[in-house]
Amino acid sequence: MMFTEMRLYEVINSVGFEPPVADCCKKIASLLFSSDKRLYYYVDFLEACGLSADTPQDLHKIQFCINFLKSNSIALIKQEYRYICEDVVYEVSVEDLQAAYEDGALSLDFLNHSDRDWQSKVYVVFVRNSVPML
Amino acid sequence: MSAVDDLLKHLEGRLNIHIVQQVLRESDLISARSWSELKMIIKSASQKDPTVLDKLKSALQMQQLCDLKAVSFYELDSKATALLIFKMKTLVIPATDLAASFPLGVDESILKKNDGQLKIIAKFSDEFGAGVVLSRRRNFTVNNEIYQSAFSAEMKKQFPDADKIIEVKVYIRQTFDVLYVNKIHKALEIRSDFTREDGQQQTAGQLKKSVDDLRAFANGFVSNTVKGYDLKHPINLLPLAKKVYEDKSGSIKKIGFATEDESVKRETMKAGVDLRDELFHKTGAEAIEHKMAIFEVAIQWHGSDVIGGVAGSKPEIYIPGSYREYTKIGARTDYLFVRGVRTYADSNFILNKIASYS
Repeated sequence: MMFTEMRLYEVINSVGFEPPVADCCKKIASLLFSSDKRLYYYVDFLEACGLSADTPQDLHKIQFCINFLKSNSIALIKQEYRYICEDVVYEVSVEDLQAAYEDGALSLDFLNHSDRDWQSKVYVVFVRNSVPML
Repeated sequence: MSAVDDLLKHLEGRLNIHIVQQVLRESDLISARSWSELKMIIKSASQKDPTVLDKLKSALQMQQLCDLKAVSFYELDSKATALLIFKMKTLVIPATDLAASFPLGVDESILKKNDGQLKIIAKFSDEFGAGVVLSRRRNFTVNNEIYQSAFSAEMKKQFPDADKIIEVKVYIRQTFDVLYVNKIHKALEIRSDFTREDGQQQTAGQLKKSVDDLRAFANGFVSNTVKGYDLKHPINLLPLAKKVYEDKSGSIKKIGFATEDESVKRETMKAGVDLRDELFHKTGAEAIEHKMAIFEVAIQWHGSDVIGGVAGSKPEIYIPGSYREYTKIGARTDYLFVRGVRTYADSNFILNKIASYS
């Protein structure tokens, strides 16, 4: 584990990101390696980097780091979608979302009706991959 | 609008998308993920083979009769069961616009003229029993808050002191309620349509009207058919909640319970996964030796559990409740919510389950 974390820092350093972004990537990576927790939210990454959701530049920075860590060559985290209705969480695939945009309503396997009000109920989670590519 | 477009509009509004996919698969047609694509497929398929539309219509009918309902169960004696089934199979349905359109709904222009009283518009029977369908217009409202910042100049003049205005829009919807008698279990099911808009559930007040009105109608119907018969109360579903928890089949989706130390807990589980397998719940439940006063529970099954059901269907029941209600003397839960019930066999499956829990 330690070896892979060090390796990731090397990659981050070598890629040539601007220092604040590189710093943010390392802080998120550090968070991911610090425990065997699997599920993360935007708020966890913002907090790790000491950034605020109120500032567009901060959000941009975070998204940049997330995209890097999700990329095929790093694949440390996966971005997944969820839908919540009456406190029950449902997994949502990209194809489900595409169909929802087309139809104006979300239909899911375990959901026994179509929801027109779906956009306010869909959110993003990040799942740590158990075996990083590095 | 052509007949096909009209049908498709109704299907999209009422029919579970998975049923449509199933019907297409059974007709050896390609399926798709979104309604937009499905409608195109159905349109072109129906030109070559009109029976696709018939299959969809009968799937719609089955779903309309069984799904998205708040169901109360009443125990009947043998005589009442026989008389009611006979009446339901033989009664003459008055010719009305709503009856003529069934299983499709009527257009808004026709629905507007409906007086909102429950009337029988169809009868049906399956291998488990017989039933009647009631339909009417319901008025529902949707509220919109308009904040002062969004006021027009006229509004600001008219309401100088208002911080916000609530816009209430009334819309009408055709609901489909069902009275059904299962001959094996000698049970009357009173199924109230709980939707107010495309699968969305009615509010507590709206639901109360739906259930009360249907119960009143049922009482009248039963006492007319079986002279002097008193339906009394539906079976109390509250004590069944703990039996649901003990049912090894199915996945628990939601639960509300109190522990012996009087901590009230509400837990839910990600769809498709059984809450009883979740580490936090499992460990906790074992630690307190399962001494839980369960007042609310939702469970979902796989279609493969249902004999004669459709593989891929995911019927679920939700017995609602609160701890406060549970503690009352004479606490009772009169109805449960049914979702994902696609066929008569699914409905029968649920009644079998309720009977097994009693």
